[in-house]
Amino acid sequence: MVNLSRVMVEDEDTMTAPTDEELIIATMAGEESAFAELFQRHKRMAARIAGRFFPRQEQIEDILQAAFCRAYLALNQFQGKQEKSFAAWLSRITANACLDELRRLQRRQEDLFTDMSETDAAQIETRRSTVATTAEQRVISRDLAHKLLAHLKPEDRLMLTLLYEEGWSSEEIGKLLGWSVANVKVRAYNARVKLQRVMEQWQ
Amino acid sequence: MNKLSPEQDRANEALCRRIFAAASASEERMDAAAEAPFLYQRIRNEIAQNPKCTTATPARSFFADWFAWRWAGGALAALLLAIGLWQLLPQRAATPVARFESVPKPTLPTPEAEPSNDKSVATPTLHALQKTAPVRGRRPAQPRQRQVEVTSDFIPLIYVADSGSVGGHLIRIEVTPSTLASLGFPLPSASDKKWVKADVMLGDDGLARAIRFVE
Repeated sequence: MVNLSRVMVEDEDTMTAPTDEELIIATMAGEESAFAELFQRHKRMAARIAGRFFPRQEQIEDILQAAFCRAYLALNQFQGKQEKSFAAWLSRITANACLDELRRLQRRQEDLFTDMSETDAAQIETRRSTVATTAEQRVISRDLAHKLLAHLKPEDRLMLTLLYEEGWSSEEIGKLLGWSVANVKVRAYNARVKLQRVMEQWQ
Repeated sequence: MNKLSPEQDRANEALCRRIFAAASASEERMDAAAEAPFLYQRIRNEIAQNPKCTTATPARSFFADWFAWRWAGGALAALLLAIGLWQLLPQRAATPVARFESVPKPTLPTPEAEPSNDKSVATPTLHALQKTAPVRGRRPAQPRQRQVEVTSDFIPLIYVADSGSVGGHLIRIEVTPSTLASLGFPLPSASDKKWVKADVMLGDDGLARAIRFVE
């Protein structure tokens, strides 16, 4: 059992912060401050992943809440030597929470952004060649992008987001979704083609 | 689905990257979400409300333990009560059933032959009192050490030709030693007994064929 406060006092001279593994052990021993420290360390990373999928702040907060709650309840399953790091483990949990939320939104018809107006169609043609510079343009582009991505399956959207925005490898995505590397590449290709088809329908 | 050329695929991939980049929330919103007030408190509350939560649950109160022990005590009392009622049920006596066993044809020694000393030959026994009906309740106490009967060899009473098809029955009788002596039979070792047990072998025709003594 690691006493976090004692570690901090003993290492006051060297100011060595406890590692994630030590904080996990202390959390499992019932020390609340250790989990608070883990939250402080990794909340921005988790928020960045959630922000790739959801534009609103409340949605990101909900994902953070779900991800850290799951992580806390599954701390005894974290195997420090086999996992790359706690951050990688937490990022997978966050991605799974995002996938669940995407699936939930897809089931709720009122939250689907699949209905594009004529204005949206015109914006697509404009945004293909130009980069949004102003805040207003960025909002329009974001709304338009979400309408386009709503046509993808949640798994495909998660896969492409992690691939393009988070820089995950095909192996990591395949491990997360239970797919082979070849399947990840094929599905990524098909998802890109599908997006192109959707845009062509509105041009 | 039509296959894209490599150039088309690269262009399409670049466009998809821009779409996904545009769909992402701004850095300010991500930071604002991460630094949201009471977010950690919300997480702690959700963890505390989760039934799977093991490390964050408070220690069980005395009353919770008392209720658990009360259930266990009630179950134990019910079990003891059931055992007691079972013991108080009236015991039903076993119904004795007499049963004769068919025995193979005995090998009777000829008058000039020596009586066989082979004890390993299957000797028919009479289960005069055998409980066949199931008995409820406590079973009668069994003797700790089973009594072993020692029997003598069969002594032929009359000469019978060995026809090979003669069966028979075995019945147990008790005779006085004086009767045995008057009939010319050798007395068993415990001749001072009041009654001597003997097994008489009856043939199918009802005639006694042989006798042996039981001790």
